[in-house]
Order: sequence, then C-alpha cells, then structure tokens
Amino acid sequence: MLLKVVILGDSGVGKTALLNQFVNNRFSTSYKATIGADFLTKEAFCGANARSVAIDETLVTLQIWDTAGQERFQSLGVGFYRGADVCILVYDITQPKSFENLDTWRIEFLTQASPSDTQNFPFVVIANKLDRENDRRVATQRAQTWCAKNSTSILPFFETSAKAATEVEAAFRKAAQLALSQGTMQADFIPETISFRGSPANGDSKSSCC
Amino acid sequence: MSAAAEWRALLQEFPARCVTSAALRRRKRWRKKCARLCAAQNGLPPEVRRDVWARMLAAAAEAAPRITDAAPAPAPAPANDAAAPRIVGSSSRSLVPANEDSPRWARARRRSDDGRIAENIPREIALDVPRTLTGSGSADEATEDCGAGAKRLRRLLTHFARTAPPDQGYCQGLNFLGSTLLRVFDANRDPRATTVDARGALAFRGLVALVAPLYAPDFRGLRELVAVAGAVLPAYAPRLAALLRDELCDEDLDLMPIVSSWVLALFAATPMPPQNVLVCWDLLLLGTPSRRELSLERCAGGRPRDRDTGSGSDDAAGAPALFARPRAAARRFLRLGSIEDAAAEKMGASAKRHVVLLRLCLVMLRVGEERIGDAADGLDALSRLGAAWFPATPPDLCSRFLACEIRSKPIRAAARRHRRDRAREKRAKQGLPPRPPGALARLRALLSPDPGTTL
Repeated sequence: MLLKVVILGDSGVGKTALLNQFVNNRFSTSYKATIGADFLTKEAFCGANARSVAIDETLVTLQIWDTAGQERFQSLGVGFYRGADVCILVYDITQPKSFENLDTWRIEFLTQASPSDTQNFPFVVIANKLDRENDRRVATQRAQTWCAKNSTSILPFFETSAKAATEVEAAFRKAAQLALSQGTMQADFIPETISFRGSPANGDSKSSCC
Repeated sequence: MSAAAEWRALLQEFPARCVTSAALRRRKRWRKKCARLCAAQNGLPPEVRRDVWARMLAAAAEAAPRITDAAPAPAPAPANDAAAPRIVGSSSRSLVPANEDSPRWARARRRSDDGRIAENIPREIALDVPRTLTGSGSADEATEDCGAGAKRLRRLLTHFARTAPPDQGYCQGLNFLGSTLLRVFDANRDPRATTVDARGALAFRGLVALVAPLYAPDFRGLRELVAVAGAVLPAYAPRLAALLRDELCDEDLDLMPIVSSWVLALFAATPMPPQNVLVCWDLLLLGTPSRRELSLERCAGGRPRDRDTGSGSDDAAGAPALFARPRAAARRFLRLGSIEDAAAEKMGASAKRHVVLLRLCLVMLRVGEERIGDAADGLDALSRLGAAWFPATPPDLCSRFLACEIRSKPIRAAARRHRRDRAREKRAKQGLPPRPPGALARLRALLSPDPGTTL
C-alpha cells in the first residue's frame, strides 16, 4: 500500500532535515536548499487504528515529498500535491513568521490539491527545532490553539527536533496512521470521483471538433 | 598546439562588437564551432574557461532587459531611446561597484527603497547562502575563507535582487547559479576578498538573462521543458519511463520532481562532482543562443513559427518578421521592454532554445535508468540514486552527451502540444469556450477518414 505524504512549510524550517532523520536516521548541519521538490520513500508497519497497536498492522510504503519553501514555488505545487494522502505542516519554533504562515500553507494546499473532503483532510503539525528551546518564540499553547481552531476533529501536533531525533518517528507514524484511516473511510467515494471527472472531459473534446 | 593554446587562438577570433547582423551571424558560427570542440575535448581547458564563459555571458547580457532603469516606466524613457540605436556597448552601466560606498551603489540602494525589493528577500538570501556553499566539494570552502565566499555570494544576490525587474527578484536556484559562477570567476582573486568584481557581476547578469525564461513568469519555461522531456523520454529511456508511469501513477508522465532542480540550477544543486558541473556549464553556455541571436533569427525573415498557438504573441512580438531591414527590426525587438513580454514571447521557443539543457537532462535520465537496472522496488531505488544519476567523469559525460542524438521534430511537436494544452487550460479557467480550430486543423478533419467527424 502506498501513501503519499507532502511536507510543507516556510524556507529553512527544517523540512529536509526532518525527512532525512525519519528515512535515513541521520542529521547533518549542511543540507542544501531544496529547489522544486524531492521525494524519498520508506516502508513502515502501520495500523489504521491508534489503539490497537499490534493488530491489523500493514506494511505501507510512505512516499514522502519534500518541497521548496520559497513562496514562488507554490505555483509549481499542483503536480506535487495531487493525490496526497496526508500533509505535514512544519514551522520553526524560533521563527514566529513561519508559524503565522501555516494558515497560508494549509489553504494553499487545500486549493491546489483539492481533496474530495476538504473539511476532514488529515494534517499533522510539526514544530521543529526543539533543540533550540532557548530561542523559542512561539509558545506551545499558541500552536495548540491554532490546531484546535483549524480542525473539526483533533489536529495532531508534535514538537520535534530533527537534530536530536525527538518525536520525529512518532509524527510521521501519526501521519501515516491518519492517512490509512482516512483511506479506509473514503474507499466508497472513489468510483464517484472518476465518473465525475470523465464527463466534462468528454464534453470538451466534442465541442473542440465541432 | 596544446588545447589551451588552440582555445586562446579561438578567443582571438571572437566577434566582440556585433553591430550588424552579419557580425551576429559570425558570432553564432563561432559559438557553434566552439560547442563542437568543447564536447569533443571533454569540456574546456581550465585555463581558458573563465575567458570563454565571460565572453558568452557578456554576449547574453547584451540586450537583456535593463536592470536598473527598465522596470517602472511603461514606455521606454527618452534617455533609453537615445541609447537604443547602439545596440551593444551599453551593458556596462549597472555593474556592482567594488566599493559599496560609491555613489552608484548608493543610488542603487535608494532606488531599492521605493518598495522594489520585498522585505523578506534579504532574509531569504541570508538563509540560502550558507545552504548553497555546503558540500560544494572544494576543500578550501570548508576552512576560513568560506566566510568570504559567502559574503561575496550574498552581495551578488542582493545586488541582483535590488536591481532586477520587479517580477523576477530573487528566486531559490539563483543562489546555486551564483556560487558556481563565482567559483570560476573568482578563482584567481584573493580568497579573502569580500567584494564582487564587475566582471563577475556582468557574467551573473548574462547568466540570469539566459535562464530567465525558465523562471519567469511562473516557471513557464521550466514547465515546458519538463513536459517535453516527459514526452520524449520513452524514446530515450523506455524502462525508466514505464517505471515512472507505474509508480507515480499519473496519467501523464511527470518528471517535475526529478528534473526541476536540475533545470533551475543548471545541475549546480546536484550531488554531481563539481568538475562535471563545470563541464555541463561549458556545454550549456556554448550551446544556448543569446537573446540577440534569437532576435537575429526572428528578424532575418525566418518563419515566425508557432505564432498561432503561442500564448501572449501580440502584434509587437510578431512585427519584427515583417520588417525588411533586420537592424531596424532588431532595434524594435530589443526595445520591447519588460522581461515579461520578452519571456512570454520567447516561451514558444524555450524547449528549442534550451535544447542542450534538455539533452543533458535526457543523458542523466538515461544514466539513472542504467543504474537502477531491474530493481524491483523501482521508486525506492530511484529516490536513493543521489549522485548515481550522473556520469562520474567529464569524458563519460561528454561521450554520452555526444551519443545522445536529439531530433528536433518530436521536441517541437511536444512543445507545441504542451503550449496548446496550457492555452486551453487557461481559457477554461477564465470560463471562455475553447478556441475554434484553425484552418489547418479543419482541413485535417476534412481529410480524415473518420466519417463521424463533422465540421
């Protein structure tokens, strides 16, 4: 089973570092700036249900897309966001601006990816650079309030450190689990979507040859 | 005669002052000859690399949209008109002065104060500069003069952001271009110098003029190049194409996640050995025509191809072809104004103009196909390829490049298809009905054996 995970957030919040920590268990202080996008895959055992840990765990392949943080690259997004199962929003606890931009990123993602169920599309919020606690400028409380406000159900929130490998694994697991449970819920809707997309395309081709 | 001496002799022949179209044509021939020689010799000899690059980039910077004085006024200022008849020689006006306190720099700074440079740009540049120089391979970068190198790069990018046309500004990717450029241009300078010399700044301007259609507006050139690469990939690397189509489960083969960073940074952001990056740039700089050369093509009464399908091809863009006198047409063309018009107009030819870049991408994709072999976990293997996407040595790169013959017909066809699709998408987005088919399409429909087709 393949799940597509998209990581979004401002430039320099540590998206590439998080991804590398999760996939390769490595951290380096010298990542190059990501241009366009990049993807890595990792296989993991995941259960759709958080409580039943050992039961119904399936092997899933996580296809994780690391994107460029600069605003201009958002317009390239459609291709990267399309078909995403879950989206991870990242901000830097030392950069209030990156937290304020979460709203933009979320809306941008929803408009561009246009998932079938906008209200319940799974997001996970990650506050990165916990190892720089001394420079913290975004309070945990504030982020939790934002999470509560922006979701009908609970929006999972993790404070991680890609450097110290704190909670990185847990955050990605949570994302995978959310995607899995969402996938099982939405299985019935898939045929409907296909037929809906089919009709305007037909009409288009007809009108163009007349 | 050694290779370097041969190149020095060639450099003597470079037509520096091109006022007439005949001279421009001579320069084009010179460029093509050098490109052939460069590919055959596995890249330029390091001794002459800087000189050859400097000439190519200076040629590219001519006729580039005026950085400092083009943007705000909708019509060209009278002063500009006076300068216009002399097409060349005007390019030395907006260089970075070596001394930041000079009046020219102050003027540039004042100009930037009227809101032309967004406030977040300096922050972005400051953020990206250290993330550019890491792992660039050269040992001395890691030591103390890394600070000086970073300062130079930051200065170069900030200057560019201050003076660029407003729709361009700084964009990630330019940082990698700047760092590679400085590595070559500042090789002989004091490693502790923190200023950018005029030569490097001019070269960067030329480089940006070369790649601008890929970036602006809205990465249209990049999109076209990627779409074309995806369309022709099955012919070059069939197994990779099949794998990508299966794994990424897209209706269209989308190479964007793989190719976008190669194209935007001209391979400088890849984990390729630095030596190879330089050879790639040799091939690219000698293989990509400058704007003036393109204007030559257009003015010489060449068929204005794709005008019917090209987006944004307004009257002004089509006009030069009607002129009888190429020089007058060139002048008109060069005065077209903002980068936006020019980029929109040039869009039609972006896959054609950057054909060497396309060819290099196809070479890399082919190498990738070889390296993953018959791996069962295709995508996983693909995402782990890293440096293995690229040929290991310059001779390997060049022999592959020469072996990768590229046919222009399928590329033109793919580019045209892409533009048509985009134009249709755009019309659909604006709620307009699809454009009625042109005369040729109607004729084709008439002649087609399908009886169901009606007019």
